[in-house]
Amino acid sequence: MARVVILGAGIAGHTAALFARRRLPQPHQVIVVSPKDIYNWIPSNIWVGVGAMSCNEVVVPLRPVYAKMDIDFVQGRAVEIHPEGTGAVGTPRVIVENTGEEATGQRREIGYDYLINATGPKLNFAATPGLGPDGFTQSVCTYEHADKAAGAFLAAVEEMKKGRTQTLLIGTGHGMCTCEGAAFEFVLNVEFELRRHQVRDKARVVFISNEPELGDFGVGGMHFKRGGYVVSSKLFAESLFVERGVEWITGAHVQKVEAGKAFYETLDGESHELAFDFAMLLPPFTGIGMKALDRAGQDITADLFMPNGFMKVDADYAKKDYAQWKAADWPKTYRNPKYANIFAVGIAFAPPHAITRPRVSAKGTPISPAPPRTGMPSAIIGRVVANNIADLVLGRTQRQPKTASMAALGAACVASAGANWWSGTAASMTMYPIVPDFERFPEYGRDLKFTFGDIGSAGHWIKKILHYMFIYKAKALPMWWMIPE
Amino acid sequence: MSVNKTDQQAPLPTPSTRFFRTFVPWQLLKFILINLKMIRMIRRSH
Repeated sequence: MARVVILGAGIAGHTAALFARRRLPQPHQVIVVSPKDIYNWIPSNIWVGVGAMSCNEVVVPLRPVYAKMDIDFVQGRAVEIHPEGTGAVGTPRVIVENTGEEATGQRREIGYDYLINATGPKLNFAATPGLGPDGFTQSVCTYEHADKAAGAFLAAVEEMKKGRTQTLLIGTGHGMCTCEGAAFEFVLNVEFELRRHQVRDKARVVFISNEPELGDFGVGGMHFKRGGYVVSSKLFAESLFVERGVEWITGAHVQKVEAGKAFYETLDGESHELAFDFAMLLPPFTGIGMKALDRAGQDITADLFMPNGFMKVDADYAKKDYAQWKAADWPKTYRNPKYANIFAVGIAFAPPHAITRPRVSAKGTPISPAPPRTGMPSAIIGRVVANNIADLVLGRTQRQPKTASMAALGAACVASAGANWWSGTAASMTMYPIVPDFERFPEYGRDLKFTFGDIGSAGHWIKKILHYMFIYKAKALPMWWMIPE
Repeated sequence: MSVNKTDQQAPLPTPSTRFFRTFVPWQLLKFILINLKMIRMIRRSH
């Protein structure tokens, strides 16, 4: 009997849990540890944030799903990993702090044979003073944040209906943020909703981003074939913004936020401030801060985690200049190099480096997008790791482990630009691979046959259908496993 | 770096392009084409 413990029930962790259980019959045990007993389909939070969707539509209660799938669920937060056991007990284990209603704060040990770290990020609002729902800005990172953002946004709309002009500031709240695509979607949805509420003329909409240019999305931008030309995502994104009258500030690091005012530095080293009435600024991410200890109780956190708290896997973490970055630096099996029974998936794994060329401001402040590893790649990695573990448990070691390098995976990104079946649109973009590989594709780093961008209602229909498909899959309803990640 | 109000270098859609973005028969065709492209890319990634 083997026990697979999965820390986290987000897109990567939940996918890994479902596939692990599908492949591993009883008496093998699959245990999920997550601080919340609710799954959130985060890509749809942008619709919750503008009041176009309710919270209930983007969440799935986990307990009934896990009861049906015969997966054990522990509501708690992993705080320590003991990969060699503790004291007299030489079997690996994690220490979990209860977060449920009963025995909150109490700690327990959970032994494991295989561990998947899918804890996602810590939303590091503290990196920018005044940032976040406890400060002066909104967020759409969780459904609760998105719900609060909707309240603030609709209050701003009410002000506009009374004839008052409002400035809406949307984007990234720090120079090292990731997930610029989410902020991009949110600003387009905000603009669409302002038109729907017939108050567009009363709003100044400003997008602020740490991307060096619009359309970078933390992946160094991309190129598509359009109208007989190869065009950059910069032109594509700028065109969408100019058409909608959205202003933009790129290469920006938000230094602090006060009530109604954001202070930021740009790549030229200049400092600026901007007054706002509503702001949704995403935070930077770090790892959740788990510790690792050896059998004697010595701290070995540095063996398992990078300084930013993300877990080390089979990537090449050697410090290199941008010119020396290679697709081969990216991890393939997501296995920790020191402890072969520990894996990290989704945001929890430490990327070897950024994808976009790193930049610092004239004052030396790093202003550069961190690499995105959410959504589609995150779920694919979760599935591949779960299936590889199942092969190990079932003794199918003659099989080569499946790989899921982001330098060999594509991604589909459907960026909503308005939630309405007939008047709403979305920018549908795909890229292959996510991490550019200039050895395979010397000109643009990606295969232009699989990299495209288009905008129209069809994109919105796809986005909406994907929403229902992935909620269906998260509920593990019949044939769930046939829906690709 | 100041707020970029209108970058006239960005290409803007013509009225017909804007019309076709929400013209249902055209978008139904696009829906099929985009899905096929995405399936091709997903198959390559799985």
